[in-house]
Amino acid sequence: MSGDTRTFKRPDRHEIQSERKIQTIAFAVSIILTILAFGAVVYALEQGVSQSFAISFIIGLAIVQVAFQAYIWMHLKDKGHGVPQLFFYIAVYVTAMTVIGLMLMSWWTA
Amino acid sequence: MATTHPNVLSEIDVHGQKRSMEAVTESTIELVTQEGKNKQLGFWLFIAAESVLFASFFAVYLALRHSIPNGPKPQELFELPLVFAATAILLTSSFTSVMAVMNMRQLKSGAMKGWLVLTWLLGFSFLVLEIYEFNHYVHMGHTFTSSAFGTAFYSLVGFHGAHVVFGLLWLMALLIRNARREITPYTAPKVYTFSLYWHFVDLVWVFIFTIVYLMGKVG
Repeated sequence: MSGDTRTFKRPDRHEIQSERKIQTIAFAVSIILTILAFGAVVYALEQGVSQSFAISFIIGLAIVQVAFQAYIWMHLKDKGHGVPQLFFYIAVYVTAMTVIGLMLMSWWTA
Repeated sequence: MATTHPNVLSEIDVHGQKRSMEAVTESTIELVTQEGKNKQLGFWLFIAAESVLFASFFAVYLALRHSIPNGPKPQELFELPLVFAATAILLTSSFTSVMAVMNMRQLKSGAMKGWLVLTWLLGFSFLVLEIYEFNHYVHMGHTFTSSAFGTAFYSLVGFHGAHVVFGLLWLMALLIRNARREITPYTAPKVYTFSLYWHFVDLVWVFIFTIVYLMGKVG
């Protein structure tokens, strides 16, 4: 394939600026969600917030952060990403089933 | 429309501005060839398979994290400032790798390499922190064989660390091999595939810092 000179799209300045803005927003969101999660745990430890509430809150934040990163940084939001999206959803489904399944089994036998 | 090089031909649009003809194609440089498309698709399949592997480690960790007959408990072990620093470093390195891809699409070779070198340095800093952390834990009596919690912890976090090591070797090979090469539809998919891998490593870390460290602190 070396020397392939087929025409490709080189993003113009406007496209690259808006795309760069979106990527930077994803970075800011990731940092904010991370600070929120750490802050929530520090707060929960000091104030004695209920354990299950603190855990559901930080897991919720992690899911939002992963969705942001997959769609924006890993380009799932872009055109022509139907099959990668399908792979991603299958991965999410199998992952959730594995984790929930093994946790239920270990609770029942404990 | 047949052109030998995409950046040679240009036309004047209605506003009198020069516009290059390549804008008619939708694919960016890393996805314009069949090989590039195949690599992207194949790599997403690989990511899905890797997710299942990590899912098993997460599931085992969640099932065994309270099994500590002897040895220190997670509350005594984990130090949030260190984990936060590691998280911030890995997050930033994921961001720098997407910036490398942005510059690659604009054929800015120097900027792309600069962002990639920054990505490598951040990834390496993360690794140094993790080695320091593991060494610290071993001195506190938390080892691979000290408890089921220890085994599950080192399997999961260590497996992620191994992915960071592999990513650093991969990136180094890319930087050396492509040091004197132009950005072409042949070399671009290589950088793009690496960036997908690096984002995935960061994505897994989001769950590790949440489920292992933060949940470990909460109890």
